[in-house]
Amino acid sequence: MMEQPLYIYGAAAHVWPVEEGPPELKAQIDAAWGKRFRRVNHFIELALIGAKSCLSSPQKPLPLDCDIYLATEQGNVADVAKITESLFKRLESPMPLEFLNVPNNMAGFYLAQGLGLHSSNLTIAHRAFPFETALDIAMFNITISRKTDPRALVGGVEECAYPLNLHRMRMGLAAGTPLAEGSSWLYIGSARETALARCEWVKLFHDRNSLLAFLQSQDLPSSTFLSIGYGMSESQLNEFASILGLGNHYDCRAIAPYHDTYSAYAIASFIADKRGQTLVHVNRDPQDRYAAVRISTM
Amino acid sequence: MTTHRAYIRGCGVISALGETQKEIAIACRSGTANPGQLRLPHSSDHPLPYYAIPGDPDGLSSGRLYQLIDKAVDNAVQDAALTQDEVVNLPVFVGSTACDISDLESRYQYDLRNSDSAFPLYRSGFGVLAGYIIDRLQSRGREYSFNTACSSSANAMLTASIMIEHGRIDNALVVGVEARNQMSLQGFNIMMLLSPHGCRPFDQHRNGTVLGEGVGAILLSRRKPSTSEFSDHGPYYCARGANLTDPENITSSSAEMIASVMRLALEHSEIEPSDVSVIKAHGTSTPANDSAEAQGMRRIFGPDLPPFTSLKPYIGHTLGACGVMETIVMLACAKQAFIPATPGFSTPDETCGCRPLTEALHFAGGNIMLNYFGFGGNNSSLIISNRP
Repeated sequence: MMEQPLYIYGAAAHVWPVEEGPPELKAQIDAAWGKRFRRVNHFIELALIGAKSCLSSPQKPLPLDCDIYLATEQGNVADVAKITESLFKRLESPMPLEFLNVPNNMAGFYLAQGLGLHSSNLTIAHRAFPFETALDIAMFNITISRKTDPRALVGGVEECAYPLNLHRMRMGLAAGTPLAEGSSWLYIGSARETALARCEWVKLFHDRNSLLAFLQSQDLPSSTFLSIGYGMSESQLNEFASILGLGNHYDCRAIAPYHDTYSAYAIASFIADKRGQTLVHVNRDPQDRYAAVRISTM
Repeated sequence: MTTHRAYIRGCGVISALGETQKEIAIACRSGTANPGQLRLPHSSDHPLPYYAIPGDPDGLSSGRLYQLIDKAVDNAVQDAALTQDEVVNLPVFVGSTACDISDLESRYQYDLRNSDSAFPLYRSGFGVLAGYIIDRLQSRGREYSFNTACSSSANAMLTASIMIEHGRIDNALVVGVEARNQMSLQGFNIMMLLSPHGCRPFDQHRNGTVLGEGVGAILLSRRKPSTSEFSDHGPYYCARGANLTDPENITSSSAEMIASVMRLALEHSEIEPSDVSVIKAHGTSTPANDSAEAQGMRRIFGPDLPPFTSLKPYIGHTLGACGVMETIVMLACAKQAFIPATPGFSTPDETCGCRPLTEALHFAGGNIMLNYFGFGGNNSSLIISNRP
C-alpha cells in the first residue's frame, strides 16, 4: 500500500547538553503547564516539557483522541540504573513510586493525563532509529485510520544516567563524547490546512546502494538541505551530497550533542527554522542500514 | 482498505507449563494451577508463588535470556515452515516490560563479586532484543520494540497484524519476552501486588497476582496455513483490536475505560458483542483490577457475559510478554477444542458480579476476545478468530 504524506502542525526541538547532572526542569514545567505534576521522574519531565512546547501555538486544536507515539531507546535509564544498584549493591528494595515510574510508557500516561487525551499511547524503541520508527508507525496508522481527522503527537525523548563516563560505556560511545538529553516533538495529522510542513515519507533501507537509488529517484530540488544523524560521518555526508547534487547541509550537531533521538531534534528544528524548504535527514546504523525522512516546510 | 488477513501460522513458546503447545494444552486441560515457590533475596518474608521456566532454579545462568529467546523463535519459525527467503525478509516485533534486565542483573552481580569497578547496566537500550533477533535470523526486515508495560506484546501483535492486513508486510515475527528478574519481583512485592497464596482471578478471596516468566513467539502471515493441524478448526487470524490509555488511573484502569477499549476492538473488527464466543480476561487476581475488568465486560456484554477465563493461574502474570504468551496458551487449548477453566475461582465476588469458567468448555471455534491491561493505563483488546 502507498502511504500518504502527512502534515505537521507543530514542532518543538529541545536539547540540554549535559556534563555533571540532569537539567532542572520543574520550574519550566510548572510555567508551561500551569500546574504541578507530582511523583514524576526526570524522564517524564523531559517528555512533558517537549510535548507541551510543541502544542504551545498550534494552529490546530488538539482533539481528545490524538494518539501519542513516544520514541526512546534509553527510556528511564537513570532510574533503572539506580534501582539496580540499590537492589544488588545496597541490598535495598525500590520505593513504590520509584518502581511505578520505571516502565517507559509512564511518560505517555502523564502526557495523556495532562492533555486530557483518551487515545492510543505507544512507547517505541529501536537500536538506531527510534524516532524514525515511531514516526513511520504513526504515519502508517494515520494513513489507515477510520477517523475523519486523525492526529498524533510523535516525540523523541532521551535522558542520561550519571556519571556520564559510565553512561558512555553503556551506550558504546568513546570517552569524552559530548552528550545531551532531548525532547523533540511533532504534532501531525492528515489534513493540509494550517500545516507548517509536510512529511513526504519515512523510509528504511537495507544498505547504502538502495538508499542512494531511492534518493536519486526522488527528483529532489537542488536547494534541498541534507542532514545526517550521529551514525554517519562527515565524509559520508559529503559523498552523499556530491552524488545527489545537494549543496545545502543542515547540521545541528554542534548545539545538539549525542542522544539517541537526535533525528527528532534535527527535523523539528528544521521545521521551526526554515520556510519553503526541503530537508532530507539520513541516519545509519552500525550494520550499514539507513533511515531517511523527507520534510517540506510550507 | 483491508485486503489480507494476518493468519497465525506458527508459534514457539517457553513457559512454566512447557515448551510445546501440546504440553500446554494437556496442563490446561487439568484445570489446576501449579506454581513453584521463590524466596526474594534479602527478605525475611515467606517464599512467594512464582511460575518459573523449569531447568534453572535461580534463573541466573549466563546467557539464559538469549537461550530462551533462541528456542522460542526457532520453534516458531519451524512451526510456521518459513522459507529461507521469508526469514531473510522477516520483520520482528518485540514486546517486553523488563527487556534484558535479567541479563543485566546477572552481569552486575557477577561484576560486584569480581571487580572493584562494577556498575549497573553494562549496556543499555530497549531495542536490544528485537535487534538481537533480527541479527540472529540474519533478517533484513525491520525491527520494532514496544514498551507499554503489560500490554507490550499485545501492542506488538496488534501493530504487526494491521501491517499485514494492509499489505505493508507479508509476515511478522511477534515475540513477547519476560525473564525472571529482581527488579520486577521486588517492585511488585513492595507495591503489595503479589499474593502469598496464589492466583484466584475474580474470586472473592483473591489477594494479589503471581508473576511468571516466559518467551513466546507468534509468526503472523498473510499466507493461510494448512488447516490439517487444526482438525476441524479453520486457521486462526488476528481480526483486529484496539489500544487506548486510561489517563486517570495509573495502576488500575476504570471499568469505563476498559469497556471503551473492548468496544473499539469490536468496532474495528466489525463484529457485535453477541458475536464474541469467548473472552480471555486479563484477570490479574488483584482486587481492584479484576473488579474493574468484570464491570467493564458487563458494560459491553450485559449481565450474561460470554464464557470467560483467566490464564494467569497456569503460567503466572508474564507482564509485557503476556500478550503473546496468553494468546499462544489460548490457541493451544482452542486447537484441542476446549477453553480452559480458571483455577482458584470458587467464591463469586459481588464487586465483580460474574463467574469465570470453572470447568473446561468444549470449543468449536469462533471469535475470541483477548484483553490485556497495563500500568500507565495502557489497555489493549484483540480479537482472534477462525470464522471464514
